[in-house]
Amino acid sequence: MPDLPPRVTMPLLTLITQQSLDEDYRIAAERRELGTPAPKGPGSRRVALVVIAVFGVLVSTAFVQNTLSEDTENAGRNALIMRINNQRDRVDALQADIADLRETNADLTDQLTATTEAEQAADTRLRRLQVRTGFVAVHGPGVVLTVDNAPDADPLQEVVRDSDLAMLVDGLWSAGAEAIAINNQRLTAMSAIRNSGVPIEVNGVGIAPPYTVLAIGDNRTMLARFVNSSGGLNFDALVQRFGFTLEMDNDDDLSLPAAPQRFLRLRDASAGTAADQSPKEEEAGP
Amino acid sequence: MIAVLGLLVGVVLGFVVSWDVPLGVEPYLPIAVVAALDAVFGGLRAYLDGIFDDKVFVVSFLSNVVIAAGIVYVGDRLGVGGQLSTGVIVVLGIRIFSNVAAIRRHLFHA
Repeated sequence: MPDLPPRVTMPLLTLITQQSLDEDYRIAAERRELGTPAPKGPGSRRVALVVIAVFGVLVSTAFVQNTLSEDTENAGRNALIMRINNQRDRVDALQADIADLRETNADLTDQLTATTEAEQAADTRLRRLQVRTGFVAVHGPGVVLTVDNAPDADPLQEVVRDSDLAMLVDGLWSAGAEAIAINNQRLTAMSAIRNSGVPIEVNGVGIAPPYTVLAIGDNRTMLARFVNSSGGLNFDALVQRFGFTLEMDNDDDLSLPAAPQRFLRLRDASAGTAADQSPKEEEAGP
Repeated sequence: MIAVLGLLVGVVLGFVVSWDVPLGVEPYLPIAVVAALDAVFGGLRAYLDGIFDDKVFVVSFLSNVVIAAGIVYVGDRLGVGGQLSTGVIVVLGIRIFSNVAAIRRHLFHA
């Protein structure tokens, strides 16, 4: 193993510590002692002075520069912090907006529910009114009453008259009928039952005996209530007196037509708005 | 004495003029200052040892500054600038400390 110089074998830290003073100083000093004095003019002294001055400039410049860039960094930091705060405020505002909108949304949903309920109620009411007033054809359980003159009746005195049928119909209404038709003529609020001579006209259409009265309603109770109503009692008296025939039957599926078109048009009245309708308002019965 | 005067003149000049260091050179200025500091303390110690030499001082100063800045520059190009500058600072710091210790021995005989 060849002898290695100490600078190779020595640990790094020791080397650095030992050679902290530049070796050149020592070498130059040795050379001076050997008798070859380097020319030491005032020039080299001046160069060293300049170098020292340069060192001073370096230090102060580095210091100034560092201070300046610190300011710049701080300014950048402050700007960033300000932006962060601004954005945070914006996020807060937007979140408040979201909460407001959600509340509005909930309110509107409630309103929608209420409106939908009102609409359904109005719909139901409309359908009920349409049934009651003959605007639509209906079918359902009900009763069938067939009225006829006595077989040997005097055609001028002892036949069924308009007022008799009206009495019968009144009895049916009060017994809970929801829709009534006589010989396929649906009764509405504007229907009239009247004599024109001997024949009876309903809705302006003449009808002939036997008179078939169809009434839709709860057929478990309607006949009993009809018989006990004043109209029913009066009509029963007429039946006894003039010998009319009266047949009463329950039917589980009756079909009634709608009223004729001309009864369904409103000529003078105009439809009310939704605001006019209050739940307490009496439904117009026929 | 005259050296202290030169130092003062340099510091004042630097503060008065306060050059704007170009952005590309800015990262190398602190390391150059530390290297220069090392050369200055080395020179001071040599002066107290009685073996001060102007030429050696000038050359060691310039080469210290240039090499330190150069090492960090190369490190930056290679992506290890931070680590290399740490290494340079460690070496220079050790040298400065041991030089200052020698100066202290001269001044206070302790």
